[in-house]
Amino acid sequence: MNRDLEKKFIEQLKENQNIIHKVCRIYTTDQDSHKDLFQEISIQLWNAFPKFRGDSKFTTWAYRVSLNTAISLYRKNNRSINTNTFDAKQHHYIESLDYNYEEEEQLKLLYQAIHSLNDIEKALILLYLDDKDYTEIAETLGISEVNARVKMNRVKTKLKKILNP
Amino acid sequence: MDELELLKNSWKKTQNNYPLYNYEELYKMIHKRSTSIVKWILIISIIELILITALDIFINKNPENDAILNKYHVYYIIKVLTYLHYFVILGFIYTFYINFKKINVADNLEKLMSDILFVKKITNYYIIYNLIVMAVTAVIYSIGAMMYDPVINQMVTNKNKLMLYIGFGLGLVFSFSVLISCFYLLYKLIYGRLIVKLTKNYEELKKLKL
Repeated sequence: MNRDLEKKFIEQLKENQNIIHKVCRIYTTDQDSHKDLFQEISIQLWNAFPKFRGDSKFTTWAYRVSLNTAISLYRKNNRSINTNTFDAKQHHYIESLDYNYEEEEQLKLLYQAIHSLNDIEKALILLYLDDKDYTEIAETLGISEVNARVKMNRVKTKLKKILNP
Repeated sequence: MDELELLKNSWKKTQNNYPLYNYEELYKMIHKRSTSIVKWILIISIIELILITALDIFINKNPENDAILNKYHVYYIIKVLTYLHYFVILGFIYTFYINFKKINVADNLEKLMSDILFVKKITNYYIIYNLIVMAVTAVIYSIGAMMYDPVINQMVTNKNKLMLYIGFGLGLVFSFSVLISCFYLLYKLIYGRLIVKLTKNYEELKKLKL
C-alpha cells in the first residue's frame, strides 16, 4: 500500500516539478540552494501527502506547500546576498532557450529585482507572474482580498522602480 | 502594454525549461532528512523538556531533601507543590503535542506561521513557568531556614534580624537574575538564528493586514 502511495506520489511530483522549480528560482540565488530548497519542499510534500485528500488539485496543493516551505520552514538563508553574482549560465536551462538576447537580459534583470524583495513580496510577485486571481492569492497567504490587492499594487510599483532606477 | 506584463510573458516562456529530475532522483530526495525549522523546534523543545525536568527530579530526589524539609517545617507544602508541578508538566507536554500536530504545511501562510510560532511559545512558557517554580521553592526554603534553622537562629539577634532578611532577599534576587540571564542568553543562542527569518516574515505578513 505504502509502496503504491509512494509511486503515485513520485509520479505526480515528477510531472509537476516545475511548480517547485519556479518557487526555488524566486527564493534562491545559486544552484546549490536551489537544489537544497527543492529537496526540502519534496520532503514536506511527501510528509503531507497522506493528508492530501484530493479536494483541491495536486498542483494547487503543491504550489501552496512549496511557497509555505520556502517562506516559513526553510532554515538556510541564501549564501550570497549580492544578487548580481547570479549567473544565468549557472541555471543552464536559460541557455537551452531559443529566444532573443534582449529578452534574456530582461529576465535576468527581473530576477535580480525580485531577489531584492522580502520573502512576502516575492510570494506576491510569484503569484502575479503565475496569473493567480486575488481570491487565490488571499487564500494562499491568509490575508483579505482587499489587502492582497493593495499590497500587490505596491509591490508592482516597487518592482518597476527597481527595474527603472 | 505594461512593462511587467511583458516580463510576465517572457517569464512564462521560460518556465518549462528547468532541468527536470527523474524518478530515481526524486525517490532519493524524499527519503532524505528534513532540515526544516519545525523539526528543529521539536528537537530543541524535547531536549529542553528533558533537561529541565531532569533538574527538577534531581533536586527533589536528593536523599537529604526530606530531612531538610522536615527541619524547616515545609514538608507538606513542598510535596503538594511538587505533585502539582508534575501535573502541570504533563499538561505542558500534552498542549505541546496537540499544537505540534496541528501544524499543517498545506494551511495558508498566515496560519502556518502563527501555528509554528505558537508551538515555540509553549516552550518559552514552559521555561518561564519552571523559573517561577524554582523561585517560589527557593523563597519557601529560605523562609523555612530563617525561621527554623538552628545555625541561622543562633546568629540572629533582634538587632540584626532585619539585615539578615534583606541579605537573604538580595541573595535570592541576585541568584535568580544570574539564572534568568543565563537562560536568556542560551535562548538567544539557540533560537536566535533559527527563527529570525520566520519571525521577520511573519511580521512582514502582519504588516499587510494593517
